[in-house]
Order: sequence, then C-alpha cells, then structure tokens
Amino acid sequence: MKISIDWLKDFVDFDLPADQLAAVLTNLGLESTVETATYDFTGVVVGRIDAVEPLAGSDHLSICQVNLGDTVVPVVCGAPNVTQGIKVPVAKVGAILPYGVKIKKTKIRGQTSQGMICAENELQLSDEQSGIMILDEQATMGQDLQEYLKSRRATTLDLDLTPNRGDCFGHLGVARDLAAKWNTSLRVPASAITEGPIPIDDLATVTITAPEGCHRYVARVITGVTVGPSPEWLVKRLESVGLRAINNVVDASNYVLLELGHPLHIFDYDRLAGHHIDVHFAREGQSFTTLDGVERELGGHHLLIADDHGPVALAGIMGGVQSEVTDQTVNLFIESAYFAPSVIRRGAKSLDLSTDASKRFERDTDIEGLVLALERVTSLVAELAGGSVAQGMIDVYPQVHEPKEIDLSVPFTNRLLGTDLSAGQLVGDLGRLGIAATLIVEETLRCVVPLSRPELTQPVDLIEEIARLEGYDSLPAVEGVEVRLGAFIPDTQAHFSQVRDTLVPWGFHEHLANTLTHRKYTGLFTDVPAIELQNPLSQELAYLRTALLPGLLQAVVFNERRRQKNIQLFEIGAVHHRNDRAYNQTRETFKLGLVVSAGKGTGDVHWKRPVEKDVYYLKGVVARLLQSLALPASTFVPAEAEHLTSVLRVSSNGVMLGFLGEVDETVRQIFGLGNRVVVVELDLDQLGQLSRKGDDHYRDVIPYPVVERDIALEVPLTTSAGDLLDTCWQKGGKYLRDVRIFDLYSGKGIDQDKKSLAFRLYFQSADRTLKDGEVDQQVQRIIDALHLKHQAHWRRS
Amino acid sequence: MSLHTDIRRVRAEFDDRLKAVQARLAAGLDGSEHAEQLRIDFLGRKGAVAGLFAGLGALSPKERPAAGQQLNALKEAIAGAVSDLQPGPSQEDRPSAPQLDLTLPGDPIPLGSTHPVTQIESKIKNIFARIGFSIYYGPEVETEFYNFEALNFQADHPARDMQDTFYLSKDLLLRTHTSNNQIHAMEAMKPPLRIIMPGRVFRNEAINARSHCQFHQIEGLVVDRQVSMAELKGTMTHFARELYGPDTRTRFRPSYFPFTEPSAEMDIYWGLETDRDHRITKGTGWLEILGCGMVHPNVFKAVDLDPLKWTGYAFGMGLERMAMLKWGIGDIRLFFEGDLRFLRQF
Repeated sequence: MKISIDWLKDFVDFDLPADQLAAVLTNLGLESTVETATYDFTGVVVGRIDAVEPLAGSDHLSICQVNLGDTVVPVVCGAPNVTQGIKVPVAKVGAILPYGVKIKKTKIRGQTSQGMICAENELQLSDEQSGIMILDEQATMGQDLQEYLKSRRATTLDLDLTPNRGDCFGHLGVARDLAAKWNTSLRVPASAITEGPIPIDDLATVTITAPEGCHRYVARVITGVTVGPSPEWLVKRLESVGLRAINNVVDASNYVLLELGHPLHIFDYDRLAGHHIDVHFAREGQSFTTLDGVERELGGHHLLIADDHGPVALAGIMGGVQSEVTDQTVNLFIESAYFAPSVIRRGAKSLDLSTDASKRFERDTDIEGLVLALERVTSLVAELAGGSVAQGMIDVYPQVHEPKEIDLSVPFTNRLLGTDLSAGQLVGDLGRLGIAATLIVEETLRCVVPLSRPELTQPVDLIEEIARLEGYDSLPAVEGVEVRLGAFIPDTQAHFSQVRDTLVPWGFHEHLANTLTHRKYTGLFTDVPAIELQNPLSQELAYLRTALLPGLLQAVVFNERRRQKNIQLFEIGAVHHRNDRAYNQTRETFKLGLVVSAGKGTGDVHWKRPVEKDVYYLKGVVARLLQSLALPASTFVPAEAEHLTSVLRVSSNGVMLGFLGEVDETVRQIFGLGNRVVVVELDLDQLGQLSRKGDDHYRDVIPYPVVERDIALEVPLTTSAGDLLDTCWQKGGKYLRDVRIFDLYSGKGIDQDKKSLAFRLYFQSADRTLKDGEVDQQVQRIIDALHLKHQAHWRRS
Repeated sequence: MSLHTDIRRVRAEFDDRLKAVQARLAAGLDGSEHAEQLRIDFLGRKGAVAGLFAGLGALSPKERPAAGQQLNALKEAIAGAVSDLQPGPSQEDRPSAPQLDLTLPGDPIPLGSTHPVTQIESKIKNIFARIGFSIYYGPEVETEFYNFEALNFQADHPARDMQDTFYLSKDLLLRTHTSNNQIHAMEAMKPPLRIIMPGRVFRNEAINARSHCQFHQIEGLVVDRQVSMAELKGTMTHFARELYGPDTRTRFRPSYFPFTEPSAEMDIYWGLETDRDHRITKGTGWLEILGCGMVHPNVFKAVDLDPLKWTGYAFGMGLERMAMLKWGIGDIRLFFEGDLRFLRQF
C-alpha cells in the first residue's frame, strides 16, 4: 500500500526524512521503502503553447508555436485538447522517450516540426492517452520535466503489509502506530455534519437477514447533491498515492478509505427499489453484474446487498452497475458496514476478484470505527457536493461486539522475551497502543483490546505488541545456549553426503531437476502409479516425478544442445508414487541417479589414452561407490529392464537397489538425445540401511607375501566372465584372496567362436608363506573346474 | 629358501611364452599385442619379476644382496628379449610429443561439483551442528493439517495467500514450506528438541528469473522449558556471523507468520557500495535473511504440548536466495536446468 508522508502529518507530528521514517515503520513491523520515481526519458522540458493553427491539408493536426523559455519552436500536434496558453511537456529534437524513441526534426505536410508534445502514456507516467498532458500554470518554461515532476511529487512510502495488520490499511492506522512508538498524541480526523430536517427513517430502511455475514450496517442519506469534479487538493492527494480522481462523491469515498482504512459504498438513492436494503446470502447459481460490467454466477456463500428488486452490490467486494453513482445522481445512500472476514474472503476467492474493499474486509475491520468512516465521508460529500444530510443515521447492529479482555502474565511475558520488564512498563507500553491494562492479581494484567485491533486475541499477541513497541533490536540477546545431549538424533541422510563426496572427484556434477514433470516421463523407467497435480502450472509440470532419470536425461539434452562435452551428472532426490496406506497417500523414496554421456572422453588430450565411457565404466563407478559405503556383497546381474539395453540389476545382500544400463532408442528419441547415454538409478533409502549394517571392519595387514598366478583361458564366446569368476572362487580354496580379469581378446590366433580371458589369481595365507607347490595345485584345481564346467581351455602359450 | 627355484620357474615360463610370440612373428602374424602382454606379465608393475622382487623382503638381510643380483640379471635378460621383439614402444603408448616438454599441460584430472544449493545447505547444517542441532526430515507430499492447520493457518484467512499451493487432492498438497516438519518432529519426539530440517518446497508460482515453482528451505526448531526470544536472537546472530563473517551486523524486526508469535525477520547489513547493493536492499543497505519467531501456543496445542510448560522458537530460510546472494546469481532458473556451464563453477 502507498502511504503519503504529508497525509500522515495530518494525524501525527514528526520531522524526519523519508528514509528514516521508513526505517521506523519497518522496525514497527510495517515494512516500508521510500518510493523513488524513475523516469525513462531525457530531453523533455516545460513549454507553453503560444499559438495554435490548423495544419493545412489535415483534419486533425495543428501547428503550434511552443515557447520553451529561450526559443519558440513550431511543433505539429494531433491531440484534441491542444489549446493556446496551456503548458505542456515538450520533447525537444534529440530527446529520448521510453522504448528508446528518439525525437528528430521532421516535415509533416510541408510543415517543419521541431519536437513533440507528449501525452502521459508517451512518457510512461500513466496509461492516459486521450490527450496531451497539461502542466501546472505556474510551471517554469524550459524547466526539465523530470525536475518539474519531482518538485510536485509528494514523497510516498510503499508499505508491504503482513496479513495481520489490517488496521494499517489506512493512513490513520499507520499514524496510530507511530504515535504509540513516539509516545505523542494522535489527531483523529473530525467530522462536522449539519443535518437537515427529514429523518432518515422516512427515507430508507435496512434489514440484515444474514447476521452471520454482516455484523453491523450503518447508513446515511444525503439529498440534492451536485456530482462534479473534485477540488485540486483532493485530486492531488489521491494522485499522490496512485489513485485517479473520478468525481467528488467517489473521490470522497476513496479518500476516507485511504484515510481510515474502512471501505464505504455509496449508492444512487433513487435507484434503490423501495429505498430498502437487505443483507442476505445469494441463492446458489444466482447471477449478478458487478461494476466492471462482468456478469458473475454466485454461490450460496456470497453475501449480497439487495433492494426490493434484487441485488445491488456484492457485499464488501464490489458494487453493481445499476445503482452506481453517475453525473446525474442527486440523492445518495451511503453504506458503512462490517462484514465477516471469512465470508468476504471466501466470496472474493471463489470469484477470483480481489478489490480494495475485499482486501480490507478479509483482514478484519473496526466495527466501531465504521461509524467514524460514515461521518467522515458524509461531511466530506456534503462539503464537496452540497446537498442536505438526512437527520440521524441507520444503525443495524444485531449483536454488539464487546472489546476483548486478555489476561497477561508478567512473568510469562518476561520468560518469553528474555526480558525483565516491570508490570508498570507493560501497562505503559500497552496503554500507548490503546490497550487498557490493569493489574488484577499480583503479576497478572487484565488487558482490554480496542475493537480497532481485532487480530489481538491471545496473550502472545500482546507480548508481540510490547516487543514491537520496545523495539526488537533493544530486546536482549543471549551470549550462550544450553545444549541438551539427550536431544540428539541420528542423521538418516548422512550417507547422501558420502555419495556426493565419492562421485565428485570422478567428474560427476550434481544436478537438481524439477520434481514436477510431464506425464509422458512418469512411466518410462517404472510402472508405479504417478501422482497428478490438481492445479498445475502447465502440462509440462503436471505430475510428480517417479524416477530421477528423466530429469537427468533432460539435462543431458540441455547440455548437448549447448555443445558441452563429458556430460556426467548425478542427482539425489525424492521420487513419489501413490500409496494409499500412507497418511499422505504417497510413497516418497530418495534415489540416486547417474547419467554418463557414452564414448571416449571427448575433449581429452589425445596423446593420453582416454577412458571409454560405457556400461563397464558406470558399473565400475557404482561398484566402487557401493564399496565406499561398505555395502555387503554387491552383485551386478545381467537382467532386462524397460527402455534400457545392456542392463545389470544391482543388488546388495539380496536387496535390489536398481538397474544400470544404456538408454534405448525409444528413450533417445523421446528426449532427443544425440549421444548414447549410460544410466543408473539406485534406491538411496535401501542403500542407507544396508550401509549402516555394512561390513566396515578392519583386517590385520598380513606380513606374508601374496603369490600371483596368471592363467589365460580360451572359452566359448557366449561364456560369461561372471560365471568363470564364480567358479574360481568356488574352487579357489581358503587362500584365494582375489581374482581379477586383466585381458580379454578375440581375433587372430583364436577360434572364431572363442575368446581368450586372462585371470590373475592372488593367494595369501594369514599365518605363513605359501609354498609354490600348494599354490600350483590349487590353480590346477581351478583350471580343472573351469574346464569341466565351462569348457575352458587353458592356453599355456 | 627357494628364490632360486622361483627364478628358474619364471625364466622357464618366460621362455615358453617368448617362443610362442616368436613363432607368431615368424609366421608373419601380428605379434605386437602378445609382445606387449609378455612385457606386462613379466616386467609390469605387478608382473612376475616384480613379484619376485617383492619376495626379497622375506629373506634375511644376509641373503638379500645375492638374491637381488640374481633378480636383476633375470630382469635384464627378460627386458632384452622383449625389446628385441618390439623395436619401440607400441603405437598407442608413444607420446605424440617428440620429446620431453614439461610445459605441456598436465593430465586432465576429472573433478565434478556438488550443487550450489547443496553447498549452502551443508554449510548451514555444519554451523547448526556445531551448536548442538540434530537433523530431521519430513515429506514433500503433505496434508492440509501438517502444512497449514496445525501451523495455525486458519481456513479463509489471508495468511493462506502468502503461499500459493499445489494441490493433489482436496486434502493433499505439496508442502509450501519446511515448517510441516515442525509438526512431525513434535509428534515423533518429546521435547527438548533442537533440530534443523532441510528440504524441497513448492509454490504455485510462475517460473521466471525471480521465482520458481520449487526451491529449498532449512527450518529450525528449538523447544525446551526456558527458551526465550533472547535465545532466538542470540542464536540467529551467531548463525549470521558464522555464515557471513564475524563483523556481520544483524537487525530484527517484527513480521508475521501464523505459527510464531512474536514473529520476526532478521536482516543483515549488506552495504550500499554498488548499484546491485542498492537494488537488492531496496536502497536500505539491509537484506532479509530469515524469518523466525516464538512457537505459537496454537501450534503446541496442535501437537498436545502444554504451551505453559514449553516454549520454543522456530526459524526458516530459503537456500536459493542465500546462494544467489553469496555468488551473485541473478536467475533462479539456473539452479534447476543442469547447465554444466553453470554447475562447473561451483
């Protein structure tokens, strides 16, 4: 909300620069910034139109002689309101207007034009484009327009109000907080009404059929007004906070809204059928055309102001077309009411219609202050538009609101704030805020909260008020805190950072993809039931992701298109699917996804042998990763999985962790991948559990030598290395420490349907040096078993 | 003992394999791979000869010199035979640079990165871990109760407008803040509590440079018998100094969150030196860092804790915002695109 500093001074005295005032308000909880005007033009000055003549050959253009103080230049202008003697903004030759428009000397129908007379929209000062902007008569010719505008502009603050401060939705409320802070007096605006002879009851009646929606309705009638333009002081005030003047009646109502924060509604009295107002809820499906000309379908929760023929306003939100005040209006019916905040909010929300009025009503309003608002607007209208105020006021107030009483404990206040304030200090602070506090028993204050602060309902609300007034910055801050050892709990995601620390040195970059995704991605790598959003931003972001791989693959494509090489990404994040047994009907699992753009490490130096990035590379990465997490007995078993080729199922201790493989052609097409990509997605929750149970014991370093034996085997092409390794282990005896495959060869020298695999076997005993003979015997047993089981032929060379 | 035997065995093995390779070459076949394998098997770092050298350690100091000489002789003999097979290093191994040139760049050692949001998160976790906070996590898909009601967001209250929400059904939504974890934590554990709760949150906001439909927060909660606003202020000030440097100035000002009362916002003094400083601090020099406050009694009531017995404070901050400030990142979308040109900088 915009606040004018001049306007504030109507109610409270102060002498502070704008930025310091903004700081005071911010420290009171009314976050404020000084509005600084910025103009997007240069070279525009004040000029006076000394002469206007129609331009020959045109039906709407004129040629003006414009006095710029030191020179008079000819300017062609097409505006309807161009008149001799007025002062206007003139963009001189060389001026630059918004959007970079540069003003040049031109010829129009043979007439030289040296500049341009501007409308407000051409200078981006407003949307006004019906004619050129007319400046003040006192403006100095030749003065730079920016200087002129700045000198006329009242300094305003922009207030970012929190939802609990409905009381500061007008200048008076802000001034009330300032007066309390500074402990100075507040000038509440006065109203002087001279009533005419006709009693209001003879002119109008009000009934409330829905007292749960409308708690109070007060009204006055003014007859014989003259609707016309508002005086300049009023126009300027409204403009200073960004409102455009309309006519004296509407302007008065807006003025009081901005002054007191209470919304008012003024009806054309003669258009109220039966001169009777009733407040009731709409019928389901009833329609009503609001002031903005939109016909709206209502629900049973919409509160209506109706005359004897039907609705005339959507209560607390917007008026209707047919009872609107127009230039012809002579008699007025002025409404000031209290509507239940939740009713207005629900109504405005369901119509997606938020107005100045609804915003205030839904933050709760002052049920007593609404009388002052009515008196203020009545006296203002009478002053500006004349007429006779009917005698008396209608006041329908079925259930009178009583000010709330809250008992506040002094020790509790000090305990919560960490302060040592006395009861007297608290009474003083609260008193300045208009909250009457008295000591009822020792150390307990009974506090009477004025109806202007309806959001204060509990002791803690009052404690915040006290803290606010004392100043948060002046409250104490402790130097030390107590750590309770019993309150420690283990970090269930501690292994996440271990995973990151392992992957980063291998060149993987961490990505965070969007949890929200397109439906087409949710079924790619899993068939779990995906969860759909009811109100998505777009179809692209309408589902919760069921896997991390789609997001990672999107990132791969993103990078491929930007010619990035060596794409290796990982993500740690949650995926979701429906699970009706959970309280939130969701199963949320943390996963680890890895993607590697396959091929030789492009961009590497060529005289070094680059590592081929393929499924073996990723298998190596995952194997090492699982090892670093001390996972027991990890296995990689060839398997099948949707949309993957060269697939391995990764498990540990019999628990499935995920699939590893290369994405298939379908996926490559869906994502538009250029390169081949190898991927893996692992269940991090399972991984964490296994890791905690994992094998991380130290084994003594053995002082006896390791005996190595190499064997080369020729086996059928289809024999899997994994099976051969298994046999080695089965027949390796108790001294076999490790088996590694160090060569794989097929081609020249080997039968076409065969391949050669070379194994290195490592033997070691924990308590002695092994004899060659026993190792050789063991190797022979392994070779025999390999031959028997896998038709492996030992290549003695 | 039997080093001698070993040497003889290795020599015999080598001669066998050498003959095979020589036979291939004699037959006009390509023997380069075999020759290379021979070199690796016998002279490689883990080759047979190296294995024998490793066995030297097991010998007594007296025996060692003689054995060493024998091994050296074996090594030289094998090396000679192998190099006779191959005129030079294999094609693949030979550097294309003709001679030693130490001004050539070093090997391209791979190095990835953790995400900037992760980096900020772990930094903040560490600061709080040092002053006795544990870590606790909660779900991203949440019910109205945990995300709003229990946190004293009343239905039909404008406070709900503070957070545009993605709904999955009438009662289910994507959490709009990590504050839902406060409720889970207080349900799951008895006070005293001293925890931080990081996580991803969602808002139904258009994606542009300044806002995104997802971001990350860290929530904090302390519940005990004598927790005061003074402790909140002291702890948050300590945190700000740990994160932004020991001379950091902080400012607390009233704010509003339905689940805390009194509520506050903490600003740090950022300065007004550059145009960017002016822009991001709206000309005040102060920058909002986190929201905090004393746990609202209604929140305690929602989890069956007696608000007269327990007091507490809570705080929360946005990680992307902090990362953007720290590194001068101007566009929040960069965090979620996976652009390597961005990620490689962290």
